[in-house]
Amino acid sequence: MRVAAAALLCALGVASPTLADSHSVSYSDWTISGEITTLKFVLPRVEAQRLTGVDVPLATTKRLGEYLLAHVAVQGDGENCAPIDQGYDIGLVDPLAVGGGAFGFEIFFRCPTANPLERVLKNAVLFERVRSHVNYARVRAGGGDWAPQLFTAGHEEIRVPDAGAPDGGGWLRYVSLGFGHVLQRLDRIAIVLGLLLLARRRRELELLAVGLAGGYALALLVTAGSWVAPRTSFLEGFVGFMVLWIAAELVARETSRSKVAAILGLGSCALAAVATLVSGWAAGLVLLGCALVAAGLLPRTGEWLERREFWVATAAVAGFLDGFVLPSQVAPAEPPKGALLAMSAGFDVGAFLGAAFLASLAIGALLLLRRRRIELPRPLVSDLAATVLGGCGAFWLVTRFYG
Amino acid sequence: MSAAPADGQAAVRRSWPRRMLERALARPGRSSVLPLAAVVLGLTLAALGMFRGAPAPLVEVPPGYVALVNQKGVLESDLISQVENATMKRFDEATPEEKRRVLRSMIDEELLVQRALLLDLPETTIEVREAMQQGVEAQVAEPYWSLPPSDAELRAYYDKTRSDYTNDGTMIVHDLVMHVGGFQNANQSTPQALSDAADAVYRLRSGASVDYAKEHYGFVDSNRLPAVEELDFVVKMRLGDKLFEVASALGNGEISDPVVDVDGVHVLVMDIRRPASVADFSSVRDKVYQAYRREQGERATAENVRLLRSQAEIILAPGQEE
Repeated sequence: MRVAAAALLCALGVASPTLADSHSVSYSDWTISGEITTLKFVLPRVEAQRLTGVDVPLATTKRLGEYLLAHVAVQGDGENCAPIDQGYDIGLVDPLAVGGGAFGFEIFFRCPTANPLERVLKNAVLFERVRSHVNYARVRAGGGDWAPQLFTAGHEEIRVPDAGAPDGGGWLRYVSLGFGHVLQRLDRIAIVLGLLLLARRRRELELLAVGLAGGYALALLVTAGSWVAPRTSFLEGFVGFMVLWIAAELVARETSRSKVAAILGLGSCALAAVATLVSGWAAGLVLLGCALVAAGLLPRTGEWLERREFWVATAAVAGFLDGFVLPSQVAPAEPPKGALLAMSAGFDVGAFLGAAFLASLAIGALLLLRRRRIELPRPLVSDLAATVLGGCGAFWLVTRFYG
Repeated sequence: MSAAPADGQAAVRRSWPRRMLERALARPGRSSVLPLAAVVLGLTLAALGMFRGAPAPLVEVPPGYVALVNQKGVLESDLISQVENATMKRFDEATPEEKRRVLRSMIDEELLVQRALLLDLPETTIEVREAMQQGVEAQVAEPYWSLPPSDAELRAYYDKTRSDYTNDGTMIVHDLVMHVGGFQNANQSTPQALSDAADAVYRLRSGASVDYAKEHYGFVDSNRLPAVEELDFVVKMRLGDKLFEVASALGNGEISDPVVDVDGVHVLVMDIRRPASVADFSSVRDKVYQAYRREQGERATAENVRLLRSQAEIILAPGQEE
């Protein structure tokens, strides 16, 4: 019954855009040289489709160029710097060939004076449509080094003094970004709340916190080493599997562990076979790994829940995977390693705090209910949670490996 | 009595993997080992799929290259050939300053090419597209061009395209005209003029001079042609198609029949006629060679386009034809 309900929810989930990935990013380079400010803007294809609603490259390019021109600006000492007509039939916005399923544009702004005391770079692209949109920007003034910056909703301006590059984006802004990342992503919320459902003691919550922090630290270490680069969609697919595993664990507690393990293991094996053909060997390998984890973990979790290594390792895997979100998002902007580590550290701290905040909210709500002597029917909560998590997890698992 | 020694012997004979297995199975915690191994193996496989080796940026110029421009290499062999082309010296003999100058220009060129690709010039600029098209055509023709044709092949090609190598004919021709219907010859009708012209032709063919015909029959020079040897196409241009057709059929010293044209009745007297002729192979060998190569290139291009079309998906808008 529970499995059928989860399958039904999964089918509904496939048709529901609300479950789709909500992270939205773009990139911009601002080069300041004398009176001219050159903007190079790169929008991933998914953002372009979100903006234009069409999938025809020519129409998309034209519409995007017009939209971009209306949403970016440069001011020098309070006066508008006009975009320059680039001649021929190009006009004010020159489309660039940036490859990689993205759209690129270049605009030259000429300020009335050659060296204004302060230049303001304005970027409002997408913020009115997607509040969580992030534009990873780089600013270079007077031939100096690139300075990483952020445009986010509410922070749509960067002030560049005459003396040179602006201050870095601010560590706290990355903390805020990480915090928002956990609270705005349904899969992250599902992981945090799912692990809370599994935990029954305060000590287990502490172990989860330790594991999560350890996972983030390990990801930071790997990022610093630059040994590996993540395949982002597969990594996110594994997050989907974790959600599905939590649902399976909730179901297995009430039914047969070996049956649930067999279903999840064999299902993952089948997905691995198809994924190998459709998405390549790497996708097949990850799903095969998922099958082994399911087959090994689910029959034994009943005993392992008593071991602290289990809690630490589970949270560490979640933290480790989440620790690669910012490095993979910011990779096209090619920040220097030092800046990347600082940004990642800020983001990870924010994400950890976000998870802690979310857990606190859930625990607070439970305590409040307990104080008012309202007892939630645990079997019903467990069944409901397993159904929701199972549906969402299956949706994320499938769409991220085959999307 | 005999069972005990036999059992002991069997225990001694067991192999070490079997003994390890028996020991593992006898342990109380054995049921956790395999699941744990599965989880570890699963996580390892998943990690192998989720991560790949990070592409290391090139920080040193690899062997065979002289520079890296935005991670794109400038080949040493290209530098050598460009230095030799620019200085007309062997690479070893070029000065360091000359080599530096050439390398600098190559790096500048690479930067401009990268910028052109970023601006998508191959897609947007006609000149770049034409240059690319010519580049591809030259590339597909190169395998044919690398094998020089033999004389027999060239001669066979010449025989096949002989008409392309004709020399233009020349002629010196007098164009006499008897005007009809003008105010000076108001009473002269065309049949009368034709009759007089036929008589004049008879006289001319009998050996009378052109001046005689002018004096006795009222012929005048049409002034369409100077009295010098002219190429056929010039004569055709001046006489017009109708008279040129008559003139080109005449041989040396021959006189045409009377021909009616818009301004009167004409009689053509051919002084000298050198008809068009086909140039012999040895005198046009270079032209034959060039044409042969050109045809090879066109054939290679056509084959290449045919192949590309067979591999391409081309969708025409409704109402469009090609």
